[in-house]
Amino acid sequence: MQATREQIAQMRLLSDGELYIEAQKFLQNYKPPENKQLAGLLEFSRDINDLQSFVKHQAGRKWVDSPKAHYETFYNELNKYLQKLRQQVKSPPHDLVMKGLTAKAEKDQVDFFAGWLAREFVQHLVAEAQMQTSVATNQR
Amino acid sequence: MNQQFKIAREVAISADNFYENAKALGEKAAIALSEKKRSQITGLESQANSALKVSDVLDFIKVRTARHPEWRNQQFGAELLQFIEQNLRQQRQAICATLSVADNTATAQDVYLLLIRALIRQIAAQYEFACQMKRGERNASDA
Repeated sequence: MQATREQIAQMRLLSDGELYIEAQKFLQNYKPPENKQLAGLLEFSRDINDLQSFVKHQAGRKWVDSPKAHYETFYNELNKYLQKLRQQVKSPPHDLVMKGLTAKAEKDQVDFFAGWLAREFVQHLVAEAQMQTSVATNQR
Repeated sequence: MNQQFKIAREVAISADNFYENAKALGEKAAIALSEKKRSQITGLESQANSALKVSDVLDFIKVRTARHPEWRNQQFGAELLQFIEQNLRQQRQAICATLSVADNTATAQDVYLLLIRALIRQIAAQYEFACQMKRGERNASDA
């Protein structure tokens, strides 16, 4: 499917505004995983369903009692955020998905718009996390 | 005067006002990256020129700062990011207020991108100039 010019403009504004700020806030609240994990996130962000499966899988792994224990919280919260994005594209003020579609057509549109926004969010999240990590490593 | 022309004029005035800041960042880039890393500056220029979103440029700077120690040298990457996020954002708001352009619109986003492009163009020019001057100094001392 293809977005209209207006929808593309709206998503670009959302990316520069809301998503960019939310990615920074997310990292203030949740410590990110290592760079390899972030690279994985970027890779899977090409498809919203793959991304959600990856995030759910990572959240379900046994991180407890390891130096990576914070990964569980990070992935659980990211999973919640992605679920929220799916809802947001269907409701005001975003309203990107058309009304009155069949269930299948609606899912396709949700996948498309939420996927686009999720990719943007992950891109902002990974860039910020990588910079924070490298600056922190440099200071040590 | 049409809106595009008014925007271009306001951006050019702003660019004249932040010229000294851009010059300082260009000097810093010449020290931090050195002339051996010219491709980093050309990469930044082409990213700024082709970006459709401000965050594309900001993310690019963050990733470069994370991956290339030269961008962390002299705090070049961090200062560039800060200048765009703070100073240029304020300039964008001032231009939008002058031209009665609402915030959070595609036009306001374009104004921000034009300011970024003007800044990066000035930085790249100063970087080239500073590298050339250093080369001249080296050649003179070798002779």
